Amino acid sequence: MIYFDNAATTGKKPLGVIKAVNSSFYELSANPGRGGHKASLRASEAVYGVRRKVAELFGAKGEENVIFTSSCTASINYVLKGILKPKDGLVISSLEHNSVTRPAETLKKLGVNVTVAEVIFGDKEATVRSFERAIAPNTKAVLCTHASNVTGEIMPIEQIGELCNKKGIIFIVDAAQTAGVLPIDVGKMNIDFLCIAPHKGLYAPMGTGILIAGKNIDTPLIEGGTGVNSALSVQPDDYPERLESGTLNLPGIVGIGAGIDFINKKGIANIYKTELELAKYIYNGLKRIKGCILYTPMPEYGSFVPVISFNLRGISASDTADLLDKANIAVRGGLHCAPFAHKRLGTIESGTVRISPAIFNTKNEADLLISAINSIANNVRYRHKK
Amino acid sequence: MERYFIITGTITYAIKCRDALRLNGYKAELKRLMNTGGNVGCGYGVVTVCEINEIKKIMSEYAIRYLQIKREGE
Repeated sequence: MIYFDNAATTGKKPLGVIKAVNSSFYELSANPGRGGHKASLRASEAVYGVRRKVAELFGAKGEENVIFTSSCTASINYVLKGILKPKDGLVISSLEHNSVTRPAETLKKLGVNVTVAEVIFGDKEATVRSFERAIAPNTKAVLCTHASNVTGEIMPIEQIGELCNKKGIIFIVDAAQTAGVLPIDVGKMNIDFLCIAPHKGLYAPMGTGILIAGKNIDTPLIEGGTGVNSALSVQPDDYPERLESGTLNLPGIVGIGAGIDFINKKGIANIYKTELELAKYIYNGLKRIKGCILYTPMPEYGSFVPVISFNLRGISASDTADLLDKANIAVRGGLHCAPFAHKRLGTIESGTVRISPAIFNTKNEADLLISAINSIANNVRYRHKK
Repeated sequence: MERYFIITGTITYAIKCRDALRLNGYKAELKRLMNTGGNVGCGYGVVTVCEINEIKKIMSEYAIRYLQIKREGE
């Protein structure tokens, strides 16, 4: 199987990640933070070591600011539902994923004012001005994706962070498509909450999520056992345990650590450059296919992450994806859980086919992908002629 | 120098505290505590041999939140 659906989850995991997860079942099979015996302390040390790696990679103030969750979506829900109250204002971008728009819709019903800031394609300054206009006196938080999971466009996070910082507004970033692909420093970028999908760019196992919390969350979404202060009837105040009730996904967390080792060794800049070059190669190949509709300009360095959306005239996105699957090539067809972005592209009815390379993909795989798409396009044209 | 117990609310701060003390050249060990004081229940702490003012300085420098520092036997 040739796998080009890495924006959903990186299909191939580094050997170091697989080995680390596997050995955790033998060497770390005890509940971290739940006991005083050697096995539990060893597990706690392993979790702490990964917190340190995460903190160093993303510039978090300390290990205690690193919260392990079950997904990037969970991280986003923890923040939005934990900090916003009726009459507060929330500004989100017009490219957001359902992981943002659905909790925002729930909050709207509870009395939170949700405003959408229009992203102006190819004009970062105009996009920042959109956010500026959307901010109202009651705006408590701004949430913006770092890069669209449909088009790959990179958002002007630094400028939006600066704007929020000046106005004393909480800034939340959904880094599902960028953590491990683009450099992120929460301090330098004025990010108060960073939501991460480690199973994507950090090459960790699925079922993992990270929240870097630079500010307090008033209401923890999940409450329960934390292994400490057990006689207290309320959730403890100290982080990260305040937001980590229930047993942690230790094999997954160890996998995050090994994933970070992998990307540190490869270098984020090198990963991004390699993946983007392959994306550009695929884009050029698609451009030559008659009947292929591309929705963005060439994915240029600094403006896009390696995500390409396209359609073939005369065939639906899901049928194209199915035919590629029959050729043993995995891509994703549909709305990619981001209807906002599709409304903007005019593809809300049709969806798109999404290609998302990762570091393990090769030029040879890209050639096979382009050739398979070309065959589908030729067959569709032939059918239509008949 | 005397032995002190630094009681933290979480295992994360306990490990951070131990590492900070060790980085500053002091011996430090993790301990699971059945009661961290104030009837809040179990938690974690660090046993170290160090001057109290030095401990406080390190805790402040590394932004480590702790519940209390007790001299051994207190």
